[in-house]
Amino acid sequence: MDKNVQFKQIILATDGKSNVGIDPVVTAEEIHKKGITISTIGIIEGNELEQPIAEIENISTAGGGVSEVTDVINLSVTMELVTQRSIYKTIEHAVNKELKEILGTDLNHAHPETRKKITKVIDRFGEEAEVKCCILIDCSGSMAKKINIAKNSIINLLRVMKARKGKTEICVIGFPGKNGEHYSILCDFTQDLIELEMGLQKIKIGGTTPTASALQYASKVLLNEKNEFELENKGEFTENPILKDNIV
Amino acid sequence: MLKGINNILGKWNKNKYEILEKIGSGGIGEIYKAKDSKGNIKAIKISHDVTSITREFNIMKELSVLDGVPRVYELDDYYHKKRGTTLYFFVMELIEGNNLKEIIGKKNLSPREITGIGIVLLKNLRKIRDKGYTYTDIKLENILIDKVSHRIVFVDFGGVTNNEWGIKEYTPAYNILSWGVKIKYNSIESTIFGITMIMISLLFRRESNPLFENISDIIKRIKRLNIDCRFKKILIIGINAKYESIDAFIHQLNKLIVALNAPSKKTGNFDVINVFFILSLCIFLFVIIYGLNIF
Repeated sequence: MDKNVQFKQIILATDGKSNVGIDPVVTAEEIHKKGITISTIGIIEGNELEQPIAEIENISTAGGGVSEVTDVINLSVTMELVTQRSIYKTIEHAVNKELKEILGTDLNHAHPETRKKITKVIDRFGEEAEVKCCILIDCSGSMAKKINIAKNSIINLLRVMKARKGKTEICVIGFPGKNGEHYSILCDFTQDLIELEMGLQKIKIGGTTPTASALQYASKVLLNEKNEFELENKGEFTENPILKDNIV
Repeated sequence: MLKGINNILGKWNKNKYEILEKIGSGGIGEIYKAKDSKGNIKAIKISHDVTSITREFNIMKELSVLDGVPRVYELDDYYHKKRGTTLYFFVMELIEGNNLKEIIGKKNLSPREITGIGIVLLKNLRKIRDKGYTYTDIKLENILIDKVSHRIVFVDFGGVTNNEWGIKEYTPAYNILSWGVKIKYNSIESTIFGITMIMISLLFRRESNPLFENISDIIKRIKRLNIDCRFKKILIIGINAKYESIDAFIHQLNKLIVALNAPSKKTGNFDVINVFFILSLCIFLFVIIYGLNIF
């Protein structure tokens, strides 16, 4: 396994079910095929409906990541845990694949003594890996009371991840975005806490939950295809006003 | 995980354990009280997560020689037939006692006792550090006091990392980065901060939360406390992680313990003795003078 490998992941934090656009589970599966891991965090209050939780679990399964449910008070710890666990999951997955080729067995079936050595290697990879993490934060109306804690949790995540040896870059995308858009980028990839804090101040609350288009956008940002994506979509968006103008 | 299971047999070492009761559960697994084939009582930590169990066992094995760390014995697999899955476990010493959270729920600890606990914890963490590791998940629930021997031990070594590495597991109340005291992580500073916050929680008998308070609120609360001023000063230096080393922090706490043990002029008892002494002197003089007058 290449030591300088970059881990590209999306962390989706939401308190509800997708209600606009296509099925986010299908989107997640497509994105995962491109080498991106998608993990999810469900923010709940007391006893809530099972449905949103089922959806985010399905998204993380399709996205090859992990899924956690938390109340907003414990969001910061959960965010860090999910980020780290999904990195380790990806490494374990890759290591297991190699082991199967070399030894014909994976970690789960190896002798405990062999496992000890492998675990040490996995840990070192986890510590030194370069991580690009795109956080998709739900900014729909229901998040109003939770958004301040969510902002703090994202800042805290960068602080903690920066303590690692490997480089960490975080990008934050809010969904829905301003003026009826499905998403807006709040802070592009950065290692800088102040830049991140400034970006997070731009968060605006209100609107629907277009999970699938937000996921799609996040994957483009991670793969550096953002500009193409914006152009493609601009095409679609600009057509409508022209038509309307013509009608008027 | 082992609901309805009475006995487990290790796949590799072939040791058998009788499962007695579940005594706890954490982020990655569950802990059971168990009896080995010789009748000794042990604790078993079991999980689906093979890497976490292996990692924790490795680290505990290396640290097991220290007084503040439970002994560990073996690492093995158990095949759960009914569920058709393999579970991973390790066997360790059972610590019978209460954690610090349970203790403060029941009683008030004196500043002297709290200082003593602080010293033991810091010494333990210093020794763990000397072996190359940092215990990052400092919290009340992870510190146990043995009922019989009064030994103070850390439990849950899942989040332990190499000294030069970052943090994997933490609890915001005891994590220096969550409070924003320091922006750049340093394992020594984070240990000093964590133990200071433990002592503060023990003093207030409640835990603080960086979401609702900031460090200046905590310092204000410390200043208002009715405790020795030297103790307040130590806590405020600790909370700002201003000690240059763990040893320097231990040294100050040792000095404080000596000071707290020495009789203080403020205590009420001393005044009572004083009054009694003066009174008896007066009576003595009175008797002498009265006696002299008779002759």
